[in-house]
Amino acid sequence: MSTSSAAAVNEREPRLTLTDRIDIIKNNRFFPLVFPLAMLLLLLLLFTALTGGEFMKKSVIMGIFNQSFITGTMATAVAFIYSTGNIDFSVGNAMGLACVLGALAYQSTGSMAVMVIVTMAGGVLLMMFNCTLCVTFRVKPAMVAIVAMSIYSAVCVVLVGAAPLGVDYGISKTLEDGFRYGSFLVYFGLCLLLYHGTAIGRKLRFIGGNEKCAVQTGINAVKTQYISFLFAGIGVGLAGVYQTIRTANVASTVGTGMGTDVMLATVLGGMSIFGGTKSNCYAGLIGAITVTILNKGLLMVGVSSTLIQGIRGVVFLLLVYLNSERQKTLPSRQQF
Amino acid sequence: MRKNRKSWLIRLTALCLVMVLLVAGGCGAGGDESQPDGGSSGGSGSNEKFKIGIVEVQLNDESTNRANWFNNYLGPKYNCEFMFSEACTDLNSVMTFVENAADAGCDAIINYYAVGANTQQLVELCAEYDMYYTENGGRNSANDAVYTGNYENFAGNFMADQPDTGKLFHDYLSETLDTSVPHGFIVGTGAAYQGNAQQTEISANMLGALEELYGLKFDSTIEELYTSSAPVEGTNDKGIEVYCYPGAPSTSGWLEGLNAAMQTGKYDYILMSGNVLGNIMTTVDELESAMGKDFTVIGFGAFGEALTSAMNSVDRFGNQALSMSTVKFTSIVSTMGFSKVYNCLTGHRDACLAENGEPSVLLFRMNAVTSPEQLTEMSSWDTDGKWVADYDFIASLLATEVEGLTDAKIQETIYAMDYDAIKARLGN
Repeated sequence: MSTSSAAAVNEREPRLTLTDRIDIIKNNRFFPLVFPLAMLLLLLLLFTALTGGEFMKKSVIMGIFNQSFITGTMATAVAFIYSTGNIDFSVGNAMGLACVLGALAYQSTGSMAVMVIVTMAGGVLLMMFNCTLCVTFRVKPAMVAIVAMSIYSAVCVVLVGAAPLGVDYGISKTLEDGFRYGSFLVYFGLCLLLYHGTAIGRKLRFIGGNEKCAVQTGINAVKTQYISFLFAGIGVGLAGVYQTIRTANVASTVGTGMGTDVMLATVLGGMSIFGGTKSNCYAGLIGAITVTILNKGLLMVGVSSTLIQGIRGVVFLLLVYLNSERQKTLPSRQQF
Repeated sequence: MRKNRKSWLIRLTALCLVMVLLVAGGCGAGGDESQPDGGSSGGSGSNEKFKIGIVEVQLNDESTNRANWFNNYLGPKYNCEFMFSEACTDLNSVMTFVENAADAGCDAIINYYAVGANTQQLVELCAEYDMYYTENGGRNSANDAVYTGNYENFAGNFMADQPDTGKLFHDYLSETLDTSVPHGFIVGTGAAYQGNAQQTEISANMLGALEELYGLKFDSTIEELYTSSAPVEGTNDKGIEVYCYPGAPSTSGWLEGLNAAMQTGKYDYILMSGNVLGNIMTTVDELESAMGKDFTVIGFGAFGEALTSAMNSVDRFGNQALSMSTVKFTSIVSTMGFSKVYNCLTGHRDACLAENGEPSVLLFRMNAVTSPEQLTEMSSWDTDGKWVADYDFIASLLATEVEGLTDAKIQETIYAMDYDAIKARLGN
């Protein structure tokens, strides 16, 4: 081939701009997994360096896991809902009411086993109630969430009354070790398996990507969404149990505002709250750990709490920007 | 290509600006909390440096004033560093802060988010991390076990003398209420239904005052009225309109509910047990205009913009918009919390124990304010450079400074800081 013909071929090749190259990296199928993990690792290394190694102490690492547990479990749970394109930010209040029901059951029976069962059942039933309103009665999920938040919050106040409901402190501390770690591993493993290893996860993502198309391929959207809320309910109930055994009492305000934390963790973990094909069920856990590392690390290096709120906001925006898919076409559910 | 380059340049500039802001902010924050060498431990009895975590329940004028006093006045003198939480709204967030504070090297915790049922968990959590603990709350059935349980890291608590605070409202109503004219009362019971000690005492005393002044008998007990989590009519044998209204402005629909009750026209006295003046005064003013009705407002308050504005405003009937409120001096309350943990940290925990050997609860008295002049005078007292709790007062509560100091002596010193004593100390 002559030099002139080679040059002609080169001219015909598309020239990639820096933006195009970044887009290619961002659209790589492994990017949503690698990027949040890389950020988490980076923060871990940064704070380890800034604290002279103190950040890697066993108590600090255990503290990070302890503080991430509840939000991480909830975020794993809501991934099933977010995948289908539904947004439910009433999960915090649903968890709160499940905790209250569980604590009342404990006070009636004195049995922690009953408390665990009632809290789990409460979480599932409340999420199924939300699902029925969204899926069967076709009420917009955001509206359902707003109404459910008010209802659950009011019921909590009425049921709890003057003082927080206490459960046995000693048993709670015991359950914090074996039971909590064991049950979380089982739940998380099951979620991973169902979400990434079975048709259920694929159907959820398909519905989130394009519900009409999914229905036309024979997927039962109603049934699939009920399944998504069922698994979310199990996670909400489990998070409620973790919440109760961590604090050993349940106040009327429990769970308030947690819906936003869960959403924040999900996005920080690299998942779109609008669902779709790039959804996963581990993003929330990664996000929850990232937020905890950020909070703890900044406090340990001496940053004031008021400033931490600002830094958290900036980091959140930065990660969302870097992790978002900004299409040049009409907005779609794949955007953050 | 040039457009892309420009776009990236803009993004890079924006990122750099954010980073500069963060670094500048971080330096500023660090500067606030650093300890000047010149002031460290001068005059204090211990040269050891202590780090103390402070749990805040809300971020407002009071918490800002408190942080200023701790960081810039107390810290340098006693070689202490302070770490403040974000606004904690539940036990989980308090526990998270306590764990983080322990990892950051704190030696003690002063908790302003006090719920009796949480005390034991927090004392035990602090014990796990070898930290001393005190909270701005009282002793009650929910936390009694902590006082009797020989927790070596528990320094006892500190709080307002709530019966005394309630009595301020009781006395004011007794002195000013004309019972020959028919009145209707909305009693904002706040979080009394959740066991909040301050709002319980104020609500109980207000309702008690109405019983005494009108010689009436409520159909329910006073306790049933203020512990109701739902609004309830205080029906009585004299037919006086009394409406107990629980909740706080943060509760959805609270202000709308209050507005609706006022619009019924049955009530002209608004008695608030919680610090809600900043939330209700606009509504009161609007309804006075719309209904042509004069409302009298009495409520718990704290130094700051909301109280100053309410006390200095004159309504359309020519009356003071806020008739009476109560205030406390942040630096005195802060000194009480500090003395609790500092005495423990310096090996004088016995100064935190009552005569029976159990951890004590230190009490302070609040002050009633009934005129703008009085408020102006008092609000100028507890500010930067003119703290009510000066170094002499702080030293009088510390066992490193006063040999043989006891809890009873500390309590006596705090009670001695009344309006006249403070005025004399400040040379007014």
